[in-house]
Amino acid sequence: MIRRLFAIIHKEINHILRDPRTLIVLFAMPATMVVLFGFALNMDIEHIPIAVIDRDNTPESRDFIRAFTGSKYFSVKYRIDTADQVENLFRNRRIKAALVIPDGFGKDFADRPEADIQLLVDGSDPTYGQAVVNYASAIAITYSVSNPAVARLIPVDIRDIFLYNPDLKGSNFITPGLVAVILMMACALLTSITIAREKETGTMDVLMVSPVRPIEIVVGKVIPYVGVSLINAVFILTFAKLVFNIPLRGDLVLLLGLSVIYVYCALGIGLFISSIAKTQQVAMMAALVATIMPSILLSGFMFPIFSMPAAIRIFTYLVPAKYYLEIIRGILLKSSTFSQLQGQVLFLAVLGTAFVIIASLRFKTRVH
Amino acid sequence: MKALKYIIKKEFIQLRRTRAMIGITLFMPIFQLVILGFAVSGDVIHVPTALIDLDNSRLSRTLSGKFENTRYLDIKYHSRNLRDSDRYLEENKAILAITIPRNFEQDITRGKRPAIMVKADAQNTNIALTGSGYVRRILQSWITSLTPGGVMPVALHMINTESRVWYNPELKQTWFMVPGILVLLVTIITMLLTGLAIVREREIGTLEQLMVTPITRTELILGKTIPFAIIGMLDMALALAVAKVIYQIPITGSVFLFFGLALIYIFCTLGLGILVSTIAHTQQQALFLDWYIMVFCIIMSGFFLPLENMPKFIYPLTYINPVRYFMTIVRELFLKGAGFADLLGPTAALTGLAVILMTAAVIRFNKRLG
Repeated sequence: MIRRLFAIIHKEINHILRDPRTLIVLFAMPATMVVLFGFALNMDIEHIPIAVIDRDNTPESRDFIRAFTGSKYFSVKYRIDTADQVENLFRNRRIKAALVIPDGFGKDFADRPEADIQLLVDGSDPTYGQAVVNYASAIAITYSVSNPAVARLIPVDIRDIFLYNPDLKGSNFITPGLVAVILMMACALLTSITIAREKETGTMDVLMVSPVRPIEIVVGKVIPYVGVSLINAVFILTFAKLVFNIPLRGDLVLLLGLSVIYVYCALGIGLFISSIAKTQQVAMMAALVATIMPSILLSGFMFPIFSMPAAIRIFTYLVPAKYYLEIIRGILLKSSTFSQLQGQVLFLAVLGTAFVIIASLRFKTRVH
Repeated sequence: MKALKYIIKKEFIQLRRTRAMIGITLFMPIFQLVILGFAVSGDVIHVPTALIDLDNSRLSRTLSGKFENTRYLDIKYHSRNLRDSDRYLEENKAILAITIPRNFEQDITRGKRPAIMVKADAQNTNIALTGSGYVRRILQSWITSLTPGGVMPVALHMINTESRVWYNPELKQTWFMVPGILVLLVTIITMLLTGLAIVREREIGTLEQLMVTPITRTELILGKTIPFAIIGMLDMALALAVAKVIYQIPITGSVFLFFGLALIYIFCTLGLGILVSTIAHTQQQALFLDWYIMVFCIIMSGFFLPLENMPKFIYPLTYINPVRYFMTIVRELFLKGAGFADLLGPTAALTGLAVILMTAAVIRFNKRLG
């Protein structure tokens, strides 16, 4: 058993080493991806281009507008007279919103409990739209309250404490996520063709008539790639750490240990696809289509899982990247311990083993 | 031209023979669009929250009630113990922990301004900020509701912001993301199909066989692109139907314009696919190259986050990304009802890229064969 397994492992390692070009690409690509995309995915929305329509044109309205021009969130690009021009500016993507100060604003603000302003928002990009609405009302509230006479009247204070990422650095969130997503895809793509290739070139028949058992073939194919992928993981992590200065608050050894389980799970998916596909082409298409979008969209990489509809949340349990995201972010940012991550580890191990077992079962039925 | 017809026919026969291919090229993208569109509804709602009420007075209970009565927060845990505010966050059970301090009611009536403490798990900065914003807004409306009850002596001089949102009044993320996913899925399929089809023929040697037949190179390239263009357009049509029927996106622009511009776009992705096939020696290499290009195109397209957010030194890279232009076109056309004149800029860029990519592909392809 062990001897046969070693023979398969030896054969796979030869396969890997024979094509150093692919190996270099495999290491270089993910590392550059993490760096490039870590910079590109900037979550902080600032300098939103807006237009201002000041119908009041009093010292009060001008002072209020200064609260917008002085904010880093907005940059006032146009001062226009009528709302008719807004539509054109929206259509040409020049501005995202228009602030309208109605006639009588200054008088209302001084004499009455409430004064109204109006905000016209281009909602075609809801991320921007929501940010505009939130920032603008925050500015309006802060502006009202900055008047000390008013501040005294507000009976309750609020104090925010941001844990784990007190500087609110987006890259602390995005970069570990990128590590998880890219590692997933690299691993699944790597093994997706190993079995399909042997089928296509006919060497599978040779393996089949040898005394090697299906499970030995599958495990023998996984082990070398776990090694390769783990080196890859270390490489990616080091790059992310050096370039983005991601904190490492937890245990590095724990992180590497759990990365092995994740890599094993991702490789298992590739093998599973490979065992189903008849040709390399089918295997590759399936691997790419099956891993690229789900690991980006269903993993919690950017979109919070708790906000998804219940039916969709069930699908996320099948996405290994979801668990690893919690593990890697937990260890890096929250110094989570093993006991706090048990659930995630268990799911990863079960998923990975299920894929490996199904892959080797698919094998057996094929032989008979 | 007769030869062209035969090559196209051959490609379709090949596709039909591997039945899995039809599933992967037509059904998998549509299935994913159906699932993923719902996943990225993106609005931050149901934020898991722990509520720690240290006062347990009449006022603190009405405030708690306010926090519970919103779909923005999901109060999962109630507690009277200050230590829990850290515990739930640490154990990944909650994102927010709201603490109402001791003597809350007493302090308010005495005008001592007690402070509500909001602890947020700020790993995802967006969620942390949005969550604390929700708390602030709920608190604000609670304070206003207090005024007539006499707790607050005088009315406030507040500025109200009234927002009117155009094109997508409820700011539904699905309306924005589904067109984006549509673009990405079609990109993945068309680019991979052409690239792999050519590398495969070279790997098994049938490409040389084709070259000794009287088929011209132009015919060969056209024969290798037209079938995949057809599949790509078919995917577009199916995806459009999903967007309209399942997600009820009000497609305000012209459907003809959409298909016209889609065709230009597909020439870009096919050109990219052929280019990759001329660089890669094996299918595996083609796969990894395609993967790299695709992830690049997705991240640099403004699919997740506004392009304007990118740092200046990276932004120019988006100019060479065809996905970026088509993403803008589809979203503007779907939601804003943009016409050809509004889309002149992205269309020109897309056409330019299509010409450059196709020309480069044909030149490299001829060289590799020569």
